[in-house]
Amino acid sequence: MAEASSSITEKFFLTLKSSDGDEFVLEESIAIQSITIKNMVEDGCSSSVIPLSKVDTETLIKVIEYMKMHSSTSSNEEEIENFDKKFVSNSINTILNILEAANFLDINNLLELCAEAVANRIKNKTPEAVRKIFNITSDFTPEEEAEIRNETPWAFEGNLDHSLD
Amino acid sequence: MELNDDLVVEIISYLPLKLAVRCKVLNKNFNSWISDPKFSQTLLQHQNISTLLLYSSSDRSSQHFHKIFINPIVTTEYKTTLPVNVDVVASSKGLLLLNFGEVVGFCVFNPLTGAHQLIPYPKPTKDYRTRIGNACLAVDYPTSDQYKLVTIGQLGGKEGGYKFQVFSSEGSDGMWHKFQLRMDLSNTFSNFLSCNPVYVNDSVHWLRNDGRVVAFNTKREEATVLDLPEFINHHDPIHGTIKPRFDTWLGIAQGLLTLICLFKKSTVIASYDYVTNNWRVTHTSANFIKGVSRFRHNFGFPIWIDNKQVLFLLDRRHVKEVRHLYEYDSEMNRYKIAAVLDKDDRVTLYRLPAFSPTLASVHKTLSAVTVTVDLKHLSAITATLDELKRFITEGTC
Repeated sequence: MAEASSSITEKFFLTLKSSDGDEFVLEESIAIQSITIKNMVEDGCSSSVIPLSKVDTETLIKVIEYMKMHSSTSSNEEEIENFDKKFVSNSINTILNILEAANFLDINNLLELCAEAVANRIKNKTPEAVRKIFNITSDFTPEEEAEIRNETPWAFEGNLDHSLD
Repeated sequence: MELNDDLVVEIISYLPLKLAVRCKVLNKNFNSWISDPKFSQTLLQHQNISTLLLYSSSDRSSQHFHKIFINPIVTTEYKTTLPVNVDVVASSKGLLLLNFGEVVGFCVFNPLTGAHQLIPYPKPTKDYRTRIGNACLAVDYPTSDQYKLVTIGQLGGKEGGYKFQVFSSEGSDGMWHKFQLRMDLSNTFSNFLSCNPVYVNDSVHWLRNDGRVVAFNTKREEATVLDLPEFINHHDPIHGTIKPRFDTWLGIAQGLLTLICLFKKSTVIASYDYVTNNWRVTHTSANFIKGVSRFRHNFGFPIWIDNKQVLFLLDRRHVKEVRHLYEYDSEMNRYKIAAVLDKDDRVTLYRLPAFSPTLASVHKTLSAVTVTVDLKHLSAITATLDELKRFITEGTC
């Protein structure tokens, strides 16, 4: 019996707790795609539940889905590609939440995927719409803004989309 | 939603250049983050920005500019006629070095932002009028926003050697500074420099017609002569000796100083290893460009090189009235016709700089070097720069 158990790789599991209080059990080998979690495991604070106070349940489910797909040895490149394509078709707010979570959890490829997806969504937006989407307040006077536009008028040519979705 | 500014900057770095620049108006913080050279470095890593090959042609009355997109190669119908004739002398990291001739001198120009700096020729001007091709622009962007303009000339007198004049964007006095490399040039007929200089590895490189390369390090402001590539002795030169811009060409491939030599039977591509200070042959293939005929009916030379691409311009007007742009794919080790240039154009050969847009800044002219230009010329120059800017940005970003 002792011999048999040593030939099977022992699986460690971690419990992740969202900001809404929901708990998710996940294989350690999958969860450590997050550098933040990996560091916690290495520091020995993984014996109990890992609280992720900045990630809500809806977002954590998505992040776990992503980590499962990207760690699984059975998924091939095409599967991953299709998954990513579908993944970024979520609403812009969902992606922004995932982006923040990926930043907090330090999952670099997820961060890149989301940043590029958001960039694609805001491509044709007016600066006013971009400000609204990210809740940015302009501190320019109209004259100062006009001056910046005049520096590179080519960048402000073309038709733009005023909508916020 | 409220998002950390760092994350918004991360998102913006995935936007096409034009749209990223547009985000400068979001607020003052974004304006300074996006203007930072480090941001442009990230932006460039995230996207393939179109590289252009600019070439000029002329008819009896005027000069026209054309452009070809490379990476992938697409010829365009874009064409412009400029109010004032201007040479595009060099291109480096988003900045162009223009030559407006004796009236003004040099002009450093970013066609994206329109920013420019007029710089008079170093003195004595007679040394430079005829050798504008020897001037080179060394742009440090995006590491910093500094640039230097370097020219080379020969020292007169018995001792011989080279003299370099350097204009720095950081210089507080706004003057050209002189440096010398003393060496005996009397025993060699190889002191003629005529190929376009190349800036790489902090040094400007000029090719001599014996195949040696003169290098000027713009950081340390020191000059050296690189060793002769050994392979040159192992092949038969087409013209008896190596002739820059006919047989030999200096460029950059994969960030390395690269030499392409056309011999009677073969084309050899070598790159310079700055660690071991040696030339290393990377590719050898059959010489498809020209036969050994005394008459240059098949005349061609490399004009641009980067990564796996090498472009050759092959001029067969004498035979077929066409000019082909060939692409050499070093991975596949084969050539194919990539574009056909307008047969009516009298293309200015040898100088077809590749240009990739960036936001590299151009420094304002310092008072000490204010170029005295009369109003009539100034307005013509402004109009020319405006048109060049419109022409280059059209369809590019």
